[in-house]
Amino acid sequence: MAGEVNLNVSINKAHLPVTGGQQLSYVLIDARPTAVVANVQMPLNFALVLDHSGSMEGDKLHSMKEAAKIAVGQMGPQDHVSVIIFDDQVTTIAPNQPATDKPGILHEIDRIRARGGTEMSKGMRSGLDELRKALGSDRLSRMLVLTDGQTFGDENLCQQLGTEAGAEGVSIIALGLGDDWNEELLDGMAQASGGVSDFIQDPATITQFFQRTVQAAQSAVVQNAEMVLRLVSGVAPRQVWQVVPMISNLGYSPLSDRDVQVHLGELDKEQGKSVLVELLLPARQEGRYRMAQAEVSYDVPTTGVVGEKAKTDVVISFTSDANLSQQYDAHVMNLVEKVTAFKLQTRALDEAAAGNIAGATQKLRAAATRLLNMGEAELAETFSAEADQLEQSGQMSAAGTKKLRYETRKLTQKPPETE
Amino acid sequence: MITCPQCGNQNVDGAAFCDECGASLTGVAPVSAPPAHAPAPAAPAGGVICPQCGASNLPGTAFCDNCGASLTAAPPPSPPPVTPPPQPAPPAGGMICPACGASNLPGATFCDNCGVSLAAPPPVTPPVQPPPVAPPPVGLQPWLEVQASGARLQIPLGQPEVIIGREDPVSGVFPEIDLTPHGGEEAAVSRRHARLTLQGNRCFIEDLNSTNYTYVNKQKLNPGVRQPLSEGDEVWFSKVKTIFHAS
Repeated sequence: MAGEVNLNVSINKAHLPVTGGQQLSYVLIDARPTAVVANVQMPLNFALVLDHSGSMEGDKLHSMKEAAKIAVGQMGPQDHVSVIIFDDQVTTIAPNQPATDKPGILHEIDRIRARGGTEMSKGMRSGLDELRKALGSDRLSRMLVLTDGQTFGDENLCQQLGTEAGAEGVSIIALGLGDDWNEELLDGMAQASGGVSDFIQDPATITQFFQRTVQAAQSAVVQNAEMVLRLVSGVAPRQVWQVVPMISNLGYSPLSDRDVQVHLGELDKEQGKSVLVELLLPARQEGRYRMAQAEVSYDVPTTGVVGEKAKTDVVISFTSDANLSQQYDAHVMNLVEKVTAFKLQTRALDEAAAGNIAGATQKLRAAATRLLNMGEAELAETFSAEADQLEQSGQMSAAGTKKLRYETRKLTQKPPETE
Repeated sequence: MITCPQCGNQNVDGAAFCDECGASLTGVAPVSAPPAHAPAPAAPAGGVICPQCGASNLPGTAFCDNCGASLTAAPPPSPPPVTPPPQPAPPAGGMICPACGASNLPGATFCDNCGVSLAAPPPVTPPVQPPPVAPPPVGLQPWLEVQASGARLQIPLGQPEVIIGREDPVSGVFPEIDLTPHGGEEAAVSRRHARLTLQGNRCFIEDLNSTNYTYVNKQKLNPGVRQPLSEGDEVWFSKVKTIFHAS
C-alpha cells in the first residue's frame, strides 16, 4: 500500500535573492494522512486517571464526571477503557475492559465523590497497570490524567512514571484544571511519554477537552512517523519546529554528515503534522535547485502497513531580480512569526526562573509586540500584564504563567489574521 | 549517466536535480555568464543587524533572534566586504578553490563545495575599505596565542574537528583545547564553546551555540556559521582573548 500520507512543501519566499553568501530560509513541510485512510479508526487502550481530591468538590467534580461519561460514550466495542480515581489513595472503579458495558462504567463514574489529598503517582501507577493488560502495536495506548492541585511528595515519581509509560508505548495527556497545579511537572511527564499537556481554565470546558482527546486518539491512524531530511552539500539545518497541531521545538538528530532525522510520531487524520525547518543555505547562482529531500516513513497499524514511505523534494529558486526576491509566502511567514512569539515566551519563562528579571521582562514585551501584530490582542495583554508584574514585584502570577505557557503553543490552532 | 553542468557530478539517468549540488538537470543550458551585478563576497561574517537591539542575525532571518523584532520591513544592509585572498591562476581544465581546495569546472563563479566566490575581485572600489587579509599560508601549523599569558595552544592537525572549550569530567566533556587554565572558568567559557576545522590550507572557526559567544576581530559569530581565520585574527572565547597564528 502507498499514498496514505501526502507531503507538501512551502518556502517562505518563492525566490531567494542571489547574495553570494549563506542565507537562512524557512521551509514548511506538511505531512497529512490522505483520503486513503479516511475511513480507518485506531482502536484504543484508554485509561482515565481522575483526581477526586477534596479541592475538586462542587462544579469541578460535577463537570469532570459529565466529561468522563461522554468520553466513555465516544468509545466503541473495539476500544478498551479503564477508569481510575485518585486522591491520596487510589481506586480502580472500572478495570481494563472493552467498552461494551457502558451503563456499568457510567454508573461507577456517577458514584465518584470528592475527598482527601493528592498523590498523583498512585493514580498513574494504577493507570499503567490497567493499560498493561491490553498493550499492543495494533492499539493506541493513552492515559488521560486530570488534576487540579499540587501532588504531595511524589513529583519525581510522577516524572519517572511518565518515562516508564513512554518506554511501553503509553502516551500521557496531562490536563491541569484551575491555577494550582505544577505545569512543569505535567509538561515534563507528558513529554517524557511522547504526549502533551494542557490547561483547563474553566471547568465547564472539561467535556470539550476530554472529547477532543478521545477523538484525536481514534484519528491517530498513522503511527511511528519519522522524517529524514537529505541535505545537499553545504546546507545546514538550524532549528526544527513542529507548528501543527501545537508549536514545539522538535530538534533533530544527525544521521550522517548530510542527513538529519526528525521524530514525528503519530499523525492524525484531521490535521497531520506540520514542521517548520530553518535551513541555512549556501550561496547559489540564479536558478532552481533541489536543496533537500524529505522522506517520511510510517506505519498504519490498522491496515497492516509497515515502513511505508512518502517523499518530496525541497526545491528553492534563486533570483537576481530584486522585485521577485521581495515576495513572501504569507502563510509560512505567519507561522514563522508565531514560532518567534513561542521562542520569546519559552526564553522569557526560563530567564524569569533563572532570576534574570530584566531579560525576561524584555522578552515578554517583545512577545506582546509580535502577538499584537498577529491580531492576538488578548494574549498580548496577558504578556504585557505579566511583564509589568514581573518588573514591579520580581514575580509572575501563577495563573498568568499558565496562560502564557499553554496558549502560545496553541497559536497555530486558530485561523491566521489575513493581511 | 547525466553530468551536472554546474558541478560535474555524475547523476543517474532521469534525475531531475543534481544529487550533489541540487542544480536542475532538465535540459537547461549551463549558466555560463557571471551574474549581471558584481558578485558580493561570500564571507558569512556580519549578517543582518537588528534595528531595535543591534544583535547580529543570519542573512534571511525574518525575526531578530535576540529580541524578536521584525527584520523584513527594511531591506537588510549589504554585508561588509572582505577581500578574498589573491586567486591563483586557474590550471587548464578547472579552478581550484583557494578557500577549501575543491576542484571546480572552468567558469564556475562559486565554489561548489564551500560557496566562496571564485570570480576576480570586482574592478569597482568597494564602498568600505576592507582590512588587508594575508594569503593562505602553505604548510599550515596553526596555533592560538593566549594574549594575557603568551601561552601557545597548538591546534592539532589530522583530526576532523577540534573542539575548544572547558573540560568537565563530571559530564564527560574533554575538548581538544581546554581553556580552563587560561581563565576559561572565570570567563564562563562553555564546555563545548567553539569548533575549529581545517580544510585545504585554511582553518575555520564555528561557534557551538556557546553561552557567552565567540568573536573574531570583535565581530560576534553566529552559531553554526563557519568563519575562515587568517594570521593575526583576534579570536575571543567569551572574555578569553587569543590571537590566531597560521604557523
